[in-house]
Amino acid sequence: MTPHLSSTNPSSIKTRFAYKFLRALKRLNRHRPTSPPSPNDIFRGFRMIKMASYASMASAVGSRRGWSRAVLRKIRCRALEIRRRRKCGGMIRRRSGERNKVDKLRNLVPGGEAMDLCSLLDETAHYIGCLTTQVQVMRNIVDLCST
Amino acid sequence: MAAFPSTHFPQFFTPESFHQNPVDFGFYQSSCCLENAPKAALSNNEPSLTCKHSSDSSSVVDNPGIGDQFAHNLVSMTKKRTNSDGSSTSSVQSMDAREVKQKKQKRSNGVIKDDKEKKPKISKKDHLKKVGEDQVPTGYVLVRARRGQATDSHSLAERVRREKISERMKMLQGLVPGCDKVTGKALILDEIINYVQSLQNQVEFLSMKLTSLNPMFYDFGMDLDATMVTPERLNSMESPLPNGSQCSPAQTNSLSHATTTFTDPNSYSLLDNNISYLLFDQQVQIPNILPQGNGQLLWDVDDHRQKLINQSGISNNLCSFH
Repeated sequence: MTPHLSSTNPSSIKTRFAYKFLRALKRLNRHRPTSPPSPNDIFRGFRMIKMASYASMASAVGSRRGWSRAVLRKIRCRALEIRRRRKCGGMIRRRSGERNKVDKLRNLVPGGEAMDLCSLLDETAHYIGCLTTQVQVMRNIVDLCST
Repeated sequence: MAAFPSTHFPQFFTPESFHQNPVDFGFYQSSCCLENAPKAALSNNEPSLTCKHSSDSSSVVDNPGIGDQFAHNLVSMTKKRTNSDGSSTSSVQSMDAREVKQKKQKRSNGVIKDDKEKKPKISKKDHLKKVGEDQVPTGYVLVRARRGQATDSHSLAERVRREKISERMKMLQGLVPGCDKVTGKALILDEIINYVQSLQNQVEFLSMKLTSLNPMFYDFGMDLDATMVTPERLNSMESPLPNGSQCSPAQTNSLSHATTTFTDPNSYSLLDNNISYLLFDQQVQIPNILPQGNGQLLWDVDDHRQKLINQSGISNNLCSFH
């Protein structure tokens, strides 16, 4: 249920994420222009890195999980997804109290819009574990680069 | 809606809610009788039903004539089953469509239900039955749910679902720090939402940091607060970048060089630390040197001792590159 986060296992999610993320960073860096980038470029780079971190986490998890499938699908066809969400927007019912919170959680967890509460909580648990790993690895990279 | 109090109890697992349960139950029992009373006036069939319910509720209070009540119950059941069409049509004014549907489902399963109900009642003595009804409220719920069997199966499914949800809630409570002390589903959800949001914000922040770091991937002498830059400041900071890249003129691809500089001291420090580990590391490194080294590096960095060694190794290696 919770992701396998052991640090000694080379096939753990953490290792796979680190590998994929560093490769993505390298690829992103290759395309970086040598001239000093404009703020727009920096913002784009920031967004690309953020997306790369989410995508590499999702692909490290694989398609076993609903949220990782949602992330991968969103990245694969982003424009389509945005259009679809806009179309669905009118159908979302407004509820009060606890339901409102569940809806909030639904919006936070990728792919949570189509889940029932049970699997939403399940996915949330897994997602939290993966996000923790992601933050840990990214912080390690930042620490390593900045010291 | 009829079976609400019974399904409502597995939602909470705290002991005090179990204490509250009989109270809920008593309320439920009285309310269902009240609820049935107006319906009785509407149809011919419903009076038998209310009669049955009142007798059941009175059987908790006083014993005499329970055998008669059983017979009466069964008779009312069969009577109701035979002409429940009439009852459903006559009482349709007071009932919504859902209840009618439940009734229809009940008719299909009524026989099985009857057997299930009959057996314990016949086998038990009056006193035992009273005690059993007192301590096992679900039995009473089954009696009540006879009006619509679908309610029962739905409530069973609902109960299972609630149990699953609360189990997952508990799991999430264990995952989210500081969530153990919070009670109440809404507050737990609040905590979870906050935690997920904070984690996503951290990812955002770290990727921002990485964006600012990436151009000067080798400027290890850069101090930490210089990395927390707004884009404008970053622009002004871009100027030392060429100076930084001077330190390794031989390399063309900056990042690959940076990662190799990372991996080398990593394996060296591992050599100092643990030979078996080094063997493992090298075995993996031979087929694909760079990626696996990176992965190893990152989880090596986890513990601080290792990290310090790595950093010293990197600085040493940089000095050797100069």
